[in-house]
Amino acid sequence: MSTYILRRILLVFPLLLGVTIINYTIFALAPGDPVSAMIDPFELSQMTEEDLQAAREALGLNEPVPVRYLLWLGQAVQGNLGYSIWFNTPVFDVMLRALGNSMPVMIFALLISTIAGITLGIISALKPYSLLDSVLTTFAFAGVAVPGFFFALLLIYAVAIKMDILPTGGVTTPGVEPSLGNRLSHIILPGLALAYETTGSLLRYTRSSLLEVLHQDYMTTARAKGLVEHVVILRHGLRNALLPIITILGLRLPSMFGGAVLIETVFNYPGIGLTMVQATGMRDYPLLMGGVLMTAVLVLLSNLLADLSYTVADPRIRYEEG
Amino acid sequence: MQRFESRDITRRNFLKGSALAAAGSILAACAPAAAPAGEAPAADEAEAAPESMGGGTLVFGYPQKTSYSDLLAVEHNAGNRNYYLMGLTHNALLTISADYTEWIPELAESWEFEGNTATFHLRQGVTWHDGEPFTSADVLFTFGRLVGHPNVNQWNGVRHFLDIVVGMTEFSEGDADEVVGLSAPDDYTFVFEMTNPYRGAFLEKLLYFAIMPKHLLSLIPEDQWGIDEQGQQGLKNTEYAKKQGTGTGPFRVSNYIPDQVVEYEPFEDYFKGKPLLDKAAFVPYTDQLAMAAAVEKGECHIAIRTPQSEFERFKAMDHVNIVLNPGPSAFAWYHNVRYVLADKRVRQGLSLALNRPQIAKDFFFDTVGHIQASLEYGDYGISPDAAQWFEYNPERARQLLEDGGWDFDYTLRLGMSSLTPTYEPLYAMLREMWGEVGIKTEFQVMAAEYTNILNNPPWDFDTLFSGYGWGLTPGGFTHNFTGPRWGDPDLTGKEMIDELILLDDEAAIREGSLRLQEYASELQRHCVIAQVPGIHVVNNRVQTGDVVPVYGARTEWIDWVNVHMSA
Repeated sequence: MSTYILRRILLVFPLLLGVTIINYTIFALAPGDPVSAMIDPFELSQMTEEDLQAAREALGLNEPVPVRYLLWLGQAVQGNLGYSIWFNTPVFDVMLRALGNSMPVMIFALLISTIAGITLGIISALKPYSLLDSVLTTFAFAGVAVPGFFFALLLIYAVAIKMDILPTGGVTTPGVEPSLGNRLSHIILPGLALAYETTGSLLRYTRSSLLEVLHQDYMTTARAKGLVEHVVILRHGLRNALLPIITILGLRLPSMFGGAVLIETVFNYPGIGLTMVQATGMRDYPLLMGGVLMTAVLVLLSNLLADLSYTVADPRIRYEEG
Repeated sequence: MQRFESRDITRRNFLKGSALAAAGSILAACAPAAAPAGEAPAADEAEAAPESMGGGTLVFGYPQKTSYSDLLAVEHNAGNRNYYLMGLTHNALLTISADYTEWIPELAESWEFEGNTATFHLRQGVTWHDGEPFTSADVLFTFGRLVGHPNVNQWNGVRHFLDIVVGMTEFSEGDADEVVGLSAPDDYTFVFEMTNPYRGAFLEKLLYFAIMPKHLLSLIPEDQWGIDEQGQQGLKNTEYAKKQGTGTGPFRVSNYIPDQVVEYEPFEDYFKGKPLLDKAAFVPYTDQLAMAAAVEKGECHIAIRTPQSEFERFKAMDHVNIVLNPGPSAFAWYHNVRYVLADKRVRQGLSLALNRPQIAKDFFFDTVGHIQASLEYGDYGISPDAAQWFEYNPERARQLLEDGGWDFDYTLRLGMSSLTPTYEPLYAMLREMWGEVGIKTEFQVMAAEYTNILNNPPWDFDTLFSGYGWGLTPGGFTHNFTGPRWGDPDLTGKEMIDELILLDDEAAIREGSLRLQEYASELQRHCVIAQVPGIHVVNNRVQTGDVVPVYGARTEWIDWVNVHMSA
């Protein structure tokens, strides 16, 4: 097992190298640069070519792309992700601040979607082809089919504007003394918007996975032993149905970062997603690369976590040594 | 144990009740916090208002895809910095009225010109937010060290003073230790020695620069001001830029979270009096719809530069007022006069083919009037001789194109850095109008090659879509005649401006400006399409907050001393 984990961790490094090369190249090929993004367009039209070149030189943008990449990589392997061109702050600090805002939303979304998805999936599986099952299935398909930002707009319109019970966006209410309640009130809507798609996916996977095991022999045996129904379902049924659910959860964790790009933009919520949108707009290459690196690490780690969780969920699974 | 098993309260019911109670607690915790975001604070403010003659918290927002980065007001990068620092925490020597017809004293009480000398008499009794007195030493530090310093002059607009203030060029290039054309004879007098007897054009340049506190920023060694090997600008990596933002303005920064909010509290010793508001807050909005939602709910009280696509939506709201205040800027095609657009008649034909009233109506929702000249200053109006080149006249357009030898088989390339979806309907309208006079068009999306194509031979483009500004005074228009990207400089136009910016007599400036307007409009080096709309939305609760700035150089805006929130 430990060898397996070590091998997986070692595999992370070449994968990260590939990810960074591809992304750095794409960013460098994108139109525009930090200088033209920073300066007022009307000011820009007055600047001479010499002015622009001096500004680019100062930021090291006149070096060829491979040289710039190697310079970045040389620092990155030493743990220095560089400075954000726009924020003029270490990339690590910018990402830490943004993550500090995003994590509560993502944890809330993950908790809500996991609890709701699995619970509703179980209910759906226990009453297959009923009216309730149809309603839940429709709910689940809507979650998967409707883009998250659209659901976010609906929430803003219905809950924030019409019902007037939660704020439309932001991390806190400007001008109001910080408090836990205020902070929580700003988390709920983006959290729900982010959770909806995952809830739908989990509901469907839990339902189908559970339906497969509900009629297995060991379920009949469990009932024959006289176990009460909820113990049969949860301990014997759900545990055996967990593998695909773990896979989905493993995949959803990094995709929440992708979803945050749109959700945080709609809610004007300055988390990691919105920061990446702004970094793209500003062509803030060090910050973009920091974001890519972080997302890639998360994807690889969550996959590893999912693999390891299989052994907990199903004791028959063992990763061979060597 | 027994009570859990009673008929009234079973264990299951207890758990259910606990869950409901927990949910209720969360909602209860959220409710008071959510309420201030909307209309609820009105009650508190209504109670506070009679006592304080105003008060309340005013939140203003600005839509910008990119964020802001610091509290260092000396550099003016794109966008919102004009709003969240200038005029709020900082002052310039002077400002200009929102219709740019009148110079308004700020840190300078008065000024006078004599030959090449401009003397500013500074306001006495002004203090910085930390209580230190403001003197001419701060002005000398701002213009004599910060603005032109070789370490920080990459983007900070020193070009406004190069070859204008004596010695600024030498200082900014590192060839001199100080700017010899600046002096402070006493604590409240400051003198610029200029290279020519500039007047209004020089005052316009001063609008861009907030005066900075010498006693704080001079503590940072000048050799640490510049960009280090990490690409980090030293001056921005300071307590001042990240926390203090100390100025002389009506508000001081009380809380700054990059990318999230700047909160302000009134400065009790502000030289025009303590502001009535209890608090102000600035919020940047990456998404315009997010700002529109915040305006609709009443969370954002002043929304600056809202998109024209939301104009009808705002008009339907009865709790907001809309203030239209377009600036001296427009959307335009920058013609490259080296090649197919070398003949003036062809360029005139392109202009006359455009139905600008229809563009103003259909694309800009009548938020701007249709443009009638290449530039327009103050209240000087439009010369009929200029306006004739902005009329919709397809027959004359066709004739001019033929007279200018336009090859109707040629496909005119409409250059742009990227094909922005927002402008696609506008492009479609333009192509249709040009198509009606026989001009074939295609897009030339330059993407990564944008700067190469624009800046290097053979300058392989016909025309480029971009923002276009003519400044508040004729001095701001020079670049439109001299920009090397668009072909050989037009020396006649440049000479007109060189003469105009030296004039002191108002009538002569008006007359000269109209002649410049006629010349630029007839020359058609830029095909101006429409003014950039300035659609500002103000909540009805904001009292006396209806003056909002134009984009670009700073102008007078909200009366920050007297603005307050009503119930």
